[in-house]
Amino acid sequence: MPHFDIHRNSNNFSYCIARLMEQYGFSLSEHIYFLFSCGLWLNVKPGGLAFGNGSGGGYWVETDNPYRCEYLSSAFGCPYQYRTIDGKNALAWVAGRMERNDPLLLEVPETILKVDEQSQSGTARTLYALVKSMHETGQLTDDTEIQLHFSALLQKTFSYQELNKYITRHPEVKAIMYFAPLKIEPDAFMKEMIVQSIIKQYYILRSCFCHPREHGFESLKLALLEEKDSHSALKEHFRLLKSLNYDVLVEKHPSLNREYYAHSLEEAAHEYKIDLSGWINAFHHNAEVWNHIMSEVKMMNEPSFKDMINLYDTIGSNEDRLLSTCESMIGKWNYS
Amino acid sequence: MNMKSKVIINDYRHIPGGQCLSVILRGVFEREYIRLSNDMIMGLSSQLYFGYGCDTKTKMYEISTFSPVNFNHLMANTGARLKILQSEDKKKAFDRMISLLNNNKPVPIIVHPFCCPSLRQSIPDDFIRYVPYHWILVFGYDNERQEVHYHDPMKFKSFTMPFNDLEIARASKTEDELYDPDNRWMEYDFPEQMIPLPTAIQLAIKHVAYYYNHVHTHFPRLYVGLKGLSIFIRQIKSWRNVLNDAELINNAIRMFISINLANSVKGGFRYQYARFLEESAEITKNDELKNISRYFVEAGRMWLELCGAFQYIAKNPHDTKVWETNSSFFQILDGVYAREAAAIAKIVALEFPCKCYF
Repeated sequence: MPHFDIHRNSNNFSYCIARLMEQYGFSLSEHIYFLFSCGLWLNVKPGGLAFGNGSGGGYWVETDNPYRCEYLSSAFGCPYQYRTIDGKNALAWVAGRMERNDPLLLEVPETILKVDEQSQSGTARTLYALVKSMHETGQLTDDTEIQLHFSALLQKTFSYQELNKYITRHPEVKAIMYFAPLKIEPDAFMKEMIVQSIIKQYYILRSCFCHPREHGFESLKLALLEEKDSHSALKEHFRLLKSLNYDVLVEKHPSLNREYYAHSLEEAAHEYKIDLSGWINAFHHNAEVWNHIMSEVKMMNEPSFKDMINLYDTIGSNEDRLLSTCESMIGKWNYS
Repeated sequence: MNMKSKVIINDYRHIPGGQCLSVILRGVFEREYIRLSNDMIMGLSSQLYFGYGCDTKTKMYEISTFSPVNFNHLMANTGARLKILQSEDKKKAFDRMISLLNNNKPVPIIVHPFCCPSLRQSIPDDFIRYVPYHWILVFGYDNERQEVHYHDPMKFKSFTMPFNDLEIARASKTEDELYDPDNRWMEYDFPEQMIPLPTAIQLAIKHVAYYYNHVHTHFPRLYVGLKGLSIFIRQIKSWRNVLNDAELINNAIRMFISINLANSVKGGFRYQYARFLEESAEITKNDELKNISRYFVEAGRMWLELCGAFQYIAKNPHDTKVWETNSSFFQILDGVYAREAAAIAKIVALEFPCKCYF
């Protein structure tokens, strides 16, 4: 496999949105889009993807907000249009957009990158790609080159025919367009929307933490306690935690994007003169603990049952601390 | 697909009135024990909006008085999880609907207005072509009779539609690709912890005001908020000079339908927003919201007058007095802007103090 330098301070969705909006003539940094899309999320879901073989049992982790497109649309009030592109001529709609030079994103499963086994296991990430075609004008042909841009450092080129074939086999692929805001009187609106996005992000994390049906980490700990004599259960739980430590070719995934969020807050605070120091500190601290947890997991070979319980306890108290700190800060904002 | 012989979900309580998706979502929320009025759902959807699009080549003008992303706002402001899904494959879309119904989940779906018999009972066919799309709520099916049971947001009673007709209604094309039903439906989930209602209200109200005041344009040429309203008013005043009779009538009807769309009682949803603010005043213990609600009642009255003016223009395209500088029509247009601007200014000045700035 060719080696790509992993982009450490980037987020796939935010990068693509930033490039898309630029094509409309609307420019913000990718960090700001991450804030507006409320990208942080943490749900552990039962079933599905143990080692990608689709066998029953096991868990998988959702670490990107599956509603980020909708949150972004709400923040700016921008309508957006999307289509699944299953069906006979899978790329027809996409092709029409490209021929008119309308900016376009694809929402694709991470398998499109053919990532290795380790990074596949336990996750089912959705990636975004900015679509660029390599033709001058006129209609696309089977041989026309289509470039998908995932990050500043990663693009993948297909022929039109190849991409059509891939999409036909993956009906979950979607094409997305936003109708970007073009003129905003920036500061007053942006300040208010940033504050709102931070509040909404807090409630999202809280809802994830407390969601009984989707197994927060507390539920995982309880599940492990019930299966404490089962070696295979212990192995599954360890696999799950290891899966959080993945490096995809698109971006590194440190601290489940908490570090990236802290940087986003720093940028917003500086750009729009908002006092976010408490929030920044809270997310930096949360990210540090996640980094520590992930380092420990990386060094483990065969953790004991007690090791796993301790890890779950550390995760739980880290999240709890973050949420309590955020709650007290929202109170000071008088949004209550 | 595992089709049962009959599935009817009985515990969805339907209350018609207002914007179609908001009406449906009120019922969906209530099933999850979150009891909110139609007006509260509308307000939490930051639905108060003005958008204006003009195509000078085709001489087609359109306005909207409710937000095109209202369900996104509702999700962001409340913490409910709402997603509109779509499939090119009609069978997949149908199978998914059946699966949700089998799992006791009523399904909001989009249909082509002309293919919706219940909507055609409410709106004359001549006007239906101005309705971009329509949401209905499917709450059951009968496999033996090959039909679905659904609620129409504009009607009290429930309706049935044959499977084949539903397939057509979900897939037919409209004049604008943006509004094609495209086999879209909504799925929803309600987490245990959502945003507390007073917070949700504050988020929703401030979002409306800041958006209205500070966002002016969307790609490609959609003018929004107060800026959009002023451009709309300025351009309308020259319609008689730039449009022929047929174009004038067509656009006047289009404006009339848009203002009264989705049973907004000809007030462009401003009356509903006023009621939302009155309810919110009680919940947030902020009496100022009651004062502000009166501004929206006034604004609603102006939109009502404007609605009547467009009806008149459509029937009397040759009345030149309408287009004189001091005509009552021009005064109504200016009055709409003045009321909206005053109402929004009041909200912006509202004391929901935020202590986070330097």
